[in-house]
Amino acid sequence: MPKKDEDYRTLSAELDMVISNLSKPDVAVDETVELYKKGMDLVARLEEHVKHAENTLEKIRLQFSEES
Amino acid sequence: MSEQTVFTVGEFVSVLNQTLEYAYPNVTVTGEVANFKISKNKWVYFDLKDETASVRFFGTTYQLPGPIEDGMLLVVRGVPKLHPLYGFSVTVQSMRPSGKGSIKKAAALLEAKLRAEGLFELERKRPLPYCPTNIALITSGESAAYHDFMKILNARWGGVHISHIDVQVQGEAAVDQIVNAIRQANELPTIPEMIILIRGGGSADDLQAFSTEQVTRAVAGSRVPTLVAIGHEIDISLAELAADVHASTPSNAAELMVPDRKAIMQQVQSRRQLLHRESVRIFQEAENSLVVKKERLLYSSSAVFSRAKEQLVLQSKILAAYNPDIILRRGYALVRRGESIVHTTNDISIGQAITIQLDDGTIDANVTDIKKKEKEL
Repeated sequence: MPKKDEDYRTLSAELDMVISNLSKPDVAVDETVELYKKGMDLVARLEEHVKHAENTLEKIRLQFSEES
Repeated sequence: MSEQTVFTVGEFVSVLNQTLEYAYPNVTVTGEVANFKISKNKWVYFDLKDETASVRFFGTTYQLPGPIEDGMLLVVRGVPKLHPLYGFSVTVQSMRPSGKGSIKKAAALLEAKLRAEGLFELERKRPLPYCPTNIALITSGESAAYHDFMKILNARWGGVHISHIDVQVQGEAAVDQIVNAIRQANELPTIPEMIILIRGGGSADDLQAFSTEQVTRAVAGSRVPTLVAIGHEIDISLAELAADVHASTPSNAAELMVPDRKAIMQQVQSRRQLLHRESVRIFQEAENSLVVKKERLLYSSSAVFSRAKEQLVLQSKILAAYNPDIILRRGYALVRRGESIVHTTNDISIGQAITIQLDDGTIDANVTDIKKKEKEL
């Protein structure tokens, strides 16, 4: 379940920033490793967000299907 | 000659009036209007005549159903009386135009008068509340119009609180009852959101009450918004012109008042489907976006590593060029005296021990001779 204070839009913007930094010509190898690690962590958290939202939507849809 | 009672003039007038009061407390007379006039904006005088006779009538402007002109046909109810000074006349109790022609003419005159006052202006029209929960319905409870209205209303929607004020919708009593009903609806303990005034089809005579000045002014003056639907006639009554909204029939009034629950449910269903589709689309787009970003992440990182590797290869090649083993392999030797490398002939003397490093090993030797290179000019 995604953390409460984590906003999807903020995380996505952060991932865009990581990708942008990796694309710079003067990025160092050590920094690349750190950036890549951070980027993959952000991807995992974003995927969790999307999955959680999809599950919640499905529950709501089923709930209202049963009631009607 | 038989004895007859001899009256004085005054006595005769009294006796005649008593007789009239007993035999004809009120009469209803129809005829053509002649010599119509209004005095001091209050008193109305006219004659009703036919081919054989003419009778004088006297009333007040309040009793007028609308503008009256000579030549119109009227039906007048009143009290016949012999005035001691002014002769015989009928004191009007109520009057109304009669016959299609007169009714139409009276309505046309009245319409022109009220239009000039601005009663029918579009700017006066108020919008009706959407889907009201509390209304006042003014109509005859026994009429087809009432039943049609209620049937359509209940089929389309439910839960509307209806204060029904039962009135006569034609005849002499109709005008006063309708006017009072509109006032009553405006004074209900819980003010309704709208007043619906309806009646079904009928002759011009039957619908006449809804083209009287009193009813028209009552509709125009209502503080509560009004929806009026009178008859099935093509001609619109003056009350409908004065109303905030008019409907073509009582059934149409119900249709204008509330939405159709079936249509609403269909709209809700289709919006529910749209909601689901849009949500799925948004999630799909988010997932696709993440896949792309993941690939870009990997690609960008790989690109950095590729660049770094290329640079390393280049640096290695450059470094390799400085590897002393390669120089030795080419036949050159490295000369040392002890630990120090001998760079010039000045670094050693004859008789000193040196070590010569070749590609495949070292040679220990002693310096037996030193020959300096001649300087180039």
